[in-house]
Amino acid sequence: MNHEELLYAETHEWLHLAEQNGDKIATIGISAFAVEALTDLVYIQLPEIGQKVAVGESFGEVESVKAVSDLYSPIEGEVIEVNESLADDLEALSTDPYGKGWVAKIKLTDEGGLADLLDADSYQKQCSDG
Amino acid sequence: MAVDEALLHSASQPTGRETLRFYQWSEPTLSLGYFQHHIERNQHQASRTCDLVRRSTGGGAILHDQELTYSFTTPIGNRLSNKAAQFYELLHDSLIEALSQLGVTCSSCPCTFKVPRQKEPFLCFQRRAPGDVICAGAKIGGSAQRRHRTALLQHGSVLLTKSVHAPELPGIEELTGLRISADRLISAWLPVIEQYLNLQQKKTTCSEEESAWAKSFVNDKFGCHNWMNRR
Repeated sequence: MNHEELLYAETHEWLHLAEQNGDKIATIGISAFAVEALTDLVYIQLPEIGQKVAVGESFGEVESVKAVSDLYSPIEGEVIEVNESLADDLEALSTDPYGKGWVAKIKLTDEGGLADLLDADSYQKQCSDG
Repeated sequence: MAVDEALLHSASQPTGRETLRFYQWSEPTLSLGYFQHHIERNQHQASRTCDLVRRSTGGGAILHDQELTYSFTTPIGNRLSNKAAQFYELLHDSLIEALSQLGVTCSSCPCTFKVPRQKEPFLCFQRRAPGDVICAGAKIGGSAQRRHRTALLQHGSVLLTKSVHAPELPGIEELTGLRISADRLISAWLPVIEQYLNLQQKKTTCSEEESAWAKSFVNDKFGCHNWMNRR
């Protein structure tokens, strides 16, 4: 996926929206900036399929060498698929964060959170501003 | 653990502030890092009779016996900022300086090598990460964090004396011949922390609200079978 065409949460998750059988499906991952800042990821806790998530709610966790950080859902919906291969290939989060490093697919049940997401330029600015 | 979680919750409130807490344990207790599997404790014979808790912070297992535990909670603007990561360095560097005042020479671990997760030792003090506090070749101080969106919890431990429940880990006493009590270390360390973190010391206890949160974290989290056996 082209990272310039994605939407971003202030909490550093990226989102790609697509339609599938009339449903809106969001593919979600962790931005390259966040993966680099977290440094040396050693573990990821993926959400469960069927799990309901709300905007801003933790839907997964990552552990770097010493820190555990939550992943926050940018939207409201139901998890329909998770990237199980990440468990054995955490490198994908850093080598291909917008492709093989996707984390979960969520079927939207409400579009309320979408308006708060940033485009690539605004997200880049947020990262630059620290 | 529940009090530390309550302090983390408190730090994430609009009126949140930094809190540094020192404590020791009434019974020798093994705390697992957040992502460790509880069955891994079976591989460590010497601590098998000890109580078990799971931290919400990362890293390896710690045997809390002849050691000093600290927790530091603070509001953070950005959980991925360098500032969040710098708290390891600040707390550890201040510990090195405080120990130096007590006649103990320590240094910061310079290691940059990466050990695959599956090969990491079970015990935190047998692992090495940049910034760990090293004394005579052994790790005597280490920390791990939990980062929420707007607040951070850092747990740390300083090995004062070897415990019979983790005899493979020498403490400061075995490494230097100096027996330093927890109180003496706190007295030396606090003013240095105050200086390094630019904090103003004010001794306090948990607010009523924080105490209530701690109780609910005992009931809903740390005291639950599900939490302990979640992995």
